[in-house]
Amino acid sequence: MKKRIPDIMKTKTLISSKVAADLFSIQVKWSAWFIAVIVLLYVFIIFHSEQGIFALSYGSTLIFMLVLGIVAGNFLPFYVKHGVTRKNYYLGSVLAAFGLSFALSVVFCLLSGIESIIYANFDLGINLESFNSLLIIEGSTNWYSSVLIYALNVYAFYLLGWFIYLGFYRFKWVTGIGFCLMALLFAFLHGLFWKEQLLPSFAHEIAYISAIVPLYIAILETVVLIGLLLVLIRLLTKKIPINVDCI
Amino acid sequence: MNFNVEVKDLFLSYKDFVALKYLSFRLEDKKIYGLIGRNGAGKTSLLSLLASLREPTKGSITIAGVPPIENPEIMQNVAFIHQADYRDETSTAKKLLELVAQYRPNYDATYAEYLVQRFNLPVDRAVNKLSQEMQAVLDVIIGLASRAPLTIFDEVYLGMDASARMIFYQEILDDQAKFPRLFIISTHLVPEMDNLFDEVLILHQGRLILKEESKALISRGLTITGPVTEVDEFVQDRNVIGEKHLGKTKVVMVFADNNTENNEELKKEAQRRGFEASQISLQDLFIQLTDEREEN
Repeated sequence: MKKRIPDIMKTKTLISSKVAADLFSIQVKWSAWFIAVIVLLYVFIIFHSEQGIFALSYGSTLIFMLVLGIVAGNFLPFYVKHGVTRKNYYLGSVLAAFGLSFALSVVFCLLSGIESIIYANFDLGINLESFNSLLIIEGSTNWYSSVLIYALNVYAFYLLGWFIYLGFYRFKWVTGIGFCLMALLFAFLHGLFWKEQLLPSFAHEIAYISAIVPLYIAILETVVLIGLLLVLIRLLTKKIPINVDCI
Repeated sequence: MNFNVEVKDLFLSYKDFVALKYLSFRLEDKKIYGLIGRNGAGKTSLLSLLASLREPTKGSITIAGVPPIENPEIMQNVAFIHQADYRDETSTAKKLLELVAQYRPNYDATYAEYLVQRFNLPVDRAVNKLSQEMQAVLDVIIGLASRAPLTIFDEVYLGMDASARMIFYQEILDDQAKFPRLFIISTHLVPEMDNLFDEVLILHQGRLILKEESKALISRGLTITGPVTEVDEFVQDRNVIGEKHLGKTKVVMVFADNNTENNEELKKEAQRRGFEASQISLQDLFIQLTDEREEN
């Protein structure tokens, strides 16, 4: 006698959490390379800075997350082809990137802790009085607000990258360029709240994050930007057609 | 749950190109369907709609009674397998199988392992380093081992050599016997597959021109060979779908207008008159039917 296919409802595990775990682990592996490069650059090139690795890594992490957002957008066709709904992919992806943003922030915070211990115990010619490894916000030294601000801002840049990817995936390249310009506009407006946000770099003088407006307003702006991007990305992916030739 | 597929007035256009023109049909659970059409007939467009990869412009699809798009219960049970682009896939085949397994509730890892051995797939190699044939084999293994109640193979086997294709056909039949499910297999290479199909759908220029049980379909067609004038006279009231001249001999293909008509009588009559009469192959039937439509 023919056997019936096992009950199709046998797994009720949340698919989006599986997607989140998958995407998180893949992107953490890529990020490990990024962290290693930053540490090497820091140790061999910028060691004698007055800023710690936490503040100095910030600009690079923004760009890294922007690129990662563009690259990771490309997982969408794979998941939909393998039976994951666009909604579950979206939720998983949003969650994974959020986790990654905090993970990177925490890792660089821990590295700066190690850095402080080294400086405190070995005389490396660093002026400890002017050095504050966690100072990425002018006037603030508590580590948790630094970690939060770092994570939120790099998350917003990841979403900008994802937004750009969708512009190119869903529309013609001309529209894609339009999405790039829109992302640039978002970044510019964001920069009005966070000084020197537009051109973050390793350069000594602009590595600090400093809110031009009161800090809570700047944080609120970041949260609003994240919210806006999340809504736009959901609308763009809600019923997005998957091109068979590209999967 | 019953995975019947119901398609009504399905219409799909990409900007100014019309890919599918008002298709309506019903597919029954646990059968193997052959979707036959020339390149560009709309096969992949139709299958990508069934796999929820895009929405139709007009019309509706239901699978197991509900619209499939964005329905997690349906989508995880519909496997769409085609020749995937693996240029950037640096994971090993083994890792990829494990990844896919997570999203397929009926995935059978033991069966996948058996298929890996049977097809000699080097699972520890990066997927983008596999030969084109082995990439196709990987797709086939994903499709079979997922045991999705609706499994779609879209010309995935084109990159495989003859012996691998034979294993593939054999596995479909064997596994279908153990775990009956609805297969849709699209192809334009009919000869080696015609035994596989319970029913055949022929798609031509975005239209469904025929849907019928494959045995009944073949029995409707007849090839009659004989002297030109005599054959012409014999088939004059018949539906002639193709003819060839070989000197004074003529080969005519006739196709019964409906499946109740009995070709056996006609065949006997033709043989009695000294003509050569034989059943048309599915391939010939397909070529003639789609040729004729183009002329019209």
